[in-house]
Amino acid sequence: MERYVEGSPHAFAELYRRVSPNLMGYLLRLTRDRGRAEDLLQVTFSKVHRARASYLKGAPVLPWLFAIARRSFLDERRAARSRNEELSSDGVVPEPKAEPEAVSNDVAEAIERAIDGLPEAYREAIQLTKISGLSIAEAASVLGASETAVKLRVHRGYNLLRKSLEQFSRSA
Amino acid sequence: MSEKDPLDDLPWPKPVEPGDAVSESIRRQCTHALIPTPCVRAHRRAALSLLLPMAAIALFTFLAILRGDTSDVVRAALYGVGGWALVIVVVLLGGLAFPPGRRPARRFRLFAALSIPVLFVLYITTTAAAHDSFSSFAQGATGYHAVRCGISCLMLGAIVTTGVLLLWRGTDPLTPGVSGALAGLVGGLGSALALGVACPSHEAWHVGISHGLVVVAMVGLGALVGRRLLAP
Repeated sequence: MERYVEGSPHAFAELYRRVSPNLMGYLLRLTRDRGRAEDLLQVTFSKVHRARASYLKGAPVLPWLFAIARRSFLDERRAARSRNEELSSDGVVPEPKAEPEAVSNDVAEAIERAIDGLPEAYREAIQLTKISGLSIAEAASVLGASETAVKLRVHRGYNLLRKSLEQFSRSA
Repeated sequence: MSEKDPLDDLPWPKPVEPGDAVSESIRRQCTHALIPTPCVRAHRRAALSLLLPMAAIALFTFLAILRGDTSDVVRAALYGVGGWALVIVVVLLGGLAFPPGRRPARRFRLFAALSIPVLFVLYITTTAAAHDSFSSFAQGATGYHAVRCGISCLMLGAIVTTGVLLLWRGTDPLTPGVSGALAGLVGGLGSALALGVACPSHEAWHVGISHGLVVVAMVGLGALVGRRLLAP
């Protein structure tokens, strides 16, 4: 990140190669829509590019990027709600449908479905810690919550996941 | 949770590669005419942030001295200013002088932003030289002076707070509201201390409302503006 701020295009390419899959996975989990996730990825990197001069040297890069991505998602969702777009007959913004992803087997598909079925707070905590690889402290700073709260969300999310997967294994 | 969780062995979803067109577009956008940008470190920004309230305090102390007001009250006020200026330094060092992610926990910074204004109001009201009844304070010339002083303090606080917020603009995507509140605390304290030195009134209601509540207002203003301004 520091070399990117100093003007190295190669440093940006390396940064993008390392973080974009994780950011994309996170945004896809939040939006459940590949098109929106890619739009938000563009918005996120556009903000990063504009704000690179205000990156404070020594700041952990991953939480910095994930926090910008999350804020971009929340801003976009707020804007969509204020435009009252795509309201269903009962007046609520419909949850986007999960995109059918290429899955290698039934278990992976069941996990995808189980994670998508979790409440948003648990889903986000599990995505950040388990899938995107952030530490509890980093996830807490991205979510603006205490570490205890994130641990609790992950733990509760795990319990719900376990129940879903037990049902899956029984039915299988 | 146990040490070895059976869920650990599950095939968790893999990170997702963005589409080639999107990646290419982002790369083009972010590397086009990429020039080195000056990157001011956190501790240097903190030092610059300290200059703003200190300049306000120095200016108003100079004005008080010019006016020939070197009484015990001014000396007492300056004694208090020394202590509270140290608080400003500690707030900047502990709350902002490190990059986001390396700062103290959000709850400690939030606690400082909420408790220090309360302590400041308690301090200046309990150490005030005079304690009148509210009705005598609110009437006539003293009430008018309190309004005028309060407006001056608010304006100075807004100027200092805006300066501090601009110094930290776009630097904190993690806790912009809390950092904004701390910037407001620095601006509010600087303003209240500056006006406190120059203000001829040392009555408890006056200093509590016209000087002390400005700090509370600046913390709120800093948190509100900081949420938008400090986030990239």
